[in-house]
Amino acid sequence: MNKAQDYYPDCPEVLIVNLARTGDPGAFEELVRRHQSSVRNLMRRCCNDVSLADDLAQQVFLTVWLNIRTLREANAFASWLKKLAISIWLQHLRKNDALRNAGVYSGDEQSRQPFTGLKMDLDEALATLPEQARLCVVLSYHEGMSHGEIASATKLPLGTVKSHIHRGAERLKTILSAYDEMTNVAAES
Amino acid sequence: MNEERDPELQALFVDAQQDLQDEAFVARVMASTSKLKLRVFAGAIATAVIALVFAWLFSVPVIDLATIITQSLATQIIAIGDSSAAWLLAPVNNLATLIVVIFKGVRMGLNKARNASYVH
Repeated sequence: MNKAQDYYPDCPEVLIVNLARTGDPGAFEELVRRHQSSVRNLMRRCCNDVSLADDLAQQVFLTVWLNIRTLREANAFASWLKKLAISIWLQHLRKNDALRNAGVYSGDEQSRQPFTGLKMDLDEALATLPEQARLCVVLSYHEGMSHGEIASATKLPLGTVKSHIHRGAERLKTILSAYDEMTNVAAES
Repeated sequence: MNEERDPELQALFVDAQQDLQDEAFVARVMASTSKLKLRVFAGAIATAVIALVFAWLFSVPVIDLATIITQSLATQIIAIGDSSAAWLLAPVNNLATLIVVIFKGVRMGLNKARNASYVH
């Protein structure tokens, strides 16, 4: 005989969220399964470090598990999850800033390899942007959020968000086109 | 500045999206929730024990303090003894009412001052 959990993959999201709110671990597991890819992709764009991205994504889902009862509307789950992910990323940045100021932590940028043209990809190009600008560009281009939504999620002024996205996108294009030229030259020689 | 996105950059972001379905990740999250459940349970027990100890240590002084405050708030503003008039006026002729009236008056005054500053 099939268990109720066997039908979860075919159930609508609202039902799964409501079941998870009642403390059903099977429903929560199904939510993790459905949303892991989007959260992990978002974190990878933000931090350009696969294992850190997975750790942060795990932290996002643990926060969901702890707070899902406070979610009022089940159909708002996806946007709530996105906000939690942004907030976890911002917390991570603040914590690292504090450690960096205390001289305990030297920062991701030093553990990362300095980019050499051929290793350059989107994530590495993103990593060259300042943290706030990177987050704004990722939320705009990766998540498709509007400027207003980004301002509200990151608590940054709207003008700052617009300028981060505009300048960040320009800088990304410059870096990536330089990389294209380098790879073309390498391919020809 | 409008919200239009650069199409080339947008295409790069779409290409960079990977399907990251991974049962090992799901299993790791679920294992962490089990550990967290234990920690939350232990935390709840510790909080209950601390609350019990506090109640045992401080219940008598807290009740005494509450009694003193209640009695002093019921003190008559104008002493009119124990007559039937005193009984009738009891809801208004006490310290608690005076405090409430003063509080309401101050709040109204502050609101008026704030509204006036918006008008100017």
